Amino acid sequence: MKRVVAFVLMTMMLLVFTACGGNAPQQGAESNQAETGTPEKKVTLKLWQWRQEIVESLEEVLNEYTKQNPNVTVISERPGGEEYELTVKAMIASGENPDVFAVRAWSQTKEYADAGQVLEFTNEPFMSVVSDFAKETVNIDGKLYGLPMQVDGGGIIYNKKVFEEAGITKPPETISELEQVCEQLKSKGFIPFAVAHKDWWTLRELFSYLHTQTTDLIEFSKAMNVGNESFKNPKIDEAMRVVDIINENCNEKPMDSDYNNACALIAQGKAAMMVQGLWSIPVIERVNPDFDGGFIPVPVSDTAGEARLSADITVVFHIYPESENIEESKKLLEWFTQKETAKLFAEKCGFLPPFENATPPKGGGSVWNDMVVHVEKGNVVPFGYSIWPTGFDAQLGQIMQGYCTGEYDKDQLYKQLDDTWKSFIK
Amino acid sequence: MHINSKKIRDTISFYQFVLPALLVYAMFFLIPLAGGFILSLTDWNGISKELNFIGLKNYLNILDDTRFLNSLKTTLKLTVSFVVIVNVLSLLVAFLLDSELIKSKKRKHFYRGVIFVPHSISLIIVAFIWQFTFTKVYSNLVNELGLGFLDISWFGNSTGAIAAVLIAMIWQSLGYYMVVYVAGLQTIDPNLLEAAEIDGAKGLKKTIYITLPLITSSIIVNLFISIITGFKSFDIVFQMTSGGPNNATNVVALDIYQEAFLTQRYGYGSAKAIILCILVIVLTYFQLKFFKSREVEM
Repeated sequence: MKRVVAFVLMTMMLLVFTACGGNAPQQGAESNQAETGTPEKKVTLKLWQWRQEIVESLEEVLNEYTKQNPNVTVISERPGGEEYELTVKAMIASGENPDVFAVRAWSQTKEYADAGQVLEFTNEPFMSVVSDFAKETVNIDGKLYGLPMQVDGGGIIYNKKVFEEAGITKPPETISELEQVCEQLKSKGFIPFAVAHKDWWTLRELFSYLHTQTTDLIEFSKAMNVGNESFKNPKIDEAMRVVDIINENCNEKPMDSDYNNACALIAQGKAAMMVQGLWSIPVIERVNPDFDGGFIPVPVSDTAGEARLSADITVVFHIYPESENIEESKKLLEWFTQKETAKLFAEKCGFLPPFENATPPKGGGSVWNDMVVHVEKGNVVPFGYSIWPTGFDAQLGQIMQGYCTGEYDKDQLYKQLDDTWKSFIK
Repeated sequence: MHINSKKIRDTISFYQFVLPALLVYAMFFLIPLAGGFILSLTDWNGISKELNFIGLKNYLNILDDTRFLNSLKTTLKLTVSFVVIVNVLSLLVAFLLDSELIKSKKRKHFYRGVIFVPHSISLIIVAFIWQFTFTKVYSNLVNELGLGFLDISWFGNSTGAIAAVLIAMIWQSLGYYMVVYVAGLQTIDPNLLEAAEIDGAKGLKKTIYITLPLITSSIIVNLFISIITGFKSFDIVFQMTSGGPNNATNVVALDIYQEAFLTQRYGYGSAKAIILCILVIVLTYFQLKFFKSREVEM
């Protein structure tokens, strides 16, 4: 009897190990069909990116490329998962490099460009379809590095159904209107704002959307770095009223609520609004696939029409200069910029590429279209953390938590931010 | 001649036994430690191809680093509370399990097992479990059963956050310390306890003056491990609070992680890590010295 039990257990264990171990990567390559004339050399391109939500859909898009170019296989990988940024650095430092890889725009691209780890694209023909505001984000000293691929937006996502049921016909454009909307929502039993103060990065988003609307980020950074500026200014003081309104009109126990909880509240229709980026739409749709949302900028004053959406390039595709397949990689990136491909990216990966005439992805109601309207008018500001010193945003999140628990008042908040900035540029 | 060759043989066999473990220790602890020390003398940002040596500048900067110094204070607070509470609790539980209150041996083993199970759960999962309990479960209990005393915001202030982290840490490791104490209690010769009772020592007096000194070696081991665990705590804080709210639970290990991997100052982060290492070594040395002199040999 004991022997039988032992044998069964052993077999079960073996089965479990083989099942876990067998995870062969999809190659999706068709056999090398030489059609006319010279047979083409078989090329394999390695592509690295960090977005977990698009791992499978990106493979489908890349398989399309292989269908059109049978001699090229593109293998996409997500090295390091959550720790993508530092894994990529470690792998490149140890000599293992990709052909195409994604990093963020602004200071991350600059870091790689300064270290000579990315190719310059200033004179590449495929860069001509990239919109001007996107080109700015990869412009290092007048030269362009990398192909901006994804526009992400940050503002107020609101649940249209909740607005309807509460009798709100026009989304708020000024701080006073925001206050009125909150009162109306509360009287109908809805939570005006779903917040996630437990996750520091959501407070980083909130502050960033206010900060970049009330100051010229690049000038501000330059002045801060030489000690000639302060976070304290009358415009941000005015804008901080929004933070106070949110804290007075949010779900209970805001400091215990995290990102998933906030997304669930707005998805279930218990809360009306959430200050977040559009990357949260897939999370909301997991709870409520029929979520019908709208997207508006966070108001920073009492003048209508002054509020601007935060929109920035979050994904930039680079080519590694010492790759053996530079020409093929350039061809791949050129294919990315074609209208049909951009549509594929929108449909499958939920990407909005910053190209002229790009189609916005569907889903989440009208949020993407709402954003495109602002982007096309050029009425957008970047994300603060694209340009703030590295690591500053994590501390800013903590300091904002201190403000939300009442530990700091506004002046102490500004002082903390100023001192923290200084400690990061030492 | 005769004695010499025996001595040589003894030395060789000594090293034969010790060398494998020493090799592993050198490869996985000493060499990385040396590497970390070298890094701490540079300003490497993780991506540049060369190392730029800046001497002891990183160490000088640590003296001005209020966040790091605060994290030392927080770690100390957390460690002291953890060590005291976990040792007292696990000792109490060990006494209970060893006493006459639970007659059946099977029951004793069952309770021991149940209390030990949390120790086999990974720390990240423990953090998830307690985070869920503190936020969702308790708020449901308050709403459905009206248990008002549970209506606290655990993560809304520094005391609550530290308490939350402590509870999770203690829940996870209580079983381990209890097992060590139970083993210690079981090595006490019952004749000694009987003799003490005959001489008039009862109850609490017996415990303090007879039992505790006899399990000093268990206490030393548990203090040793709990102090080091407290100083190195990272996983639960990282997952549950990310050091918040407003750095209330920002322990040293978390500060080092942020410095090296978020701010991308690997050299500076390594310097902080070396400082932590030195602190733990110094602490351990004094602790061992203090308790060795109190050990009672029977």
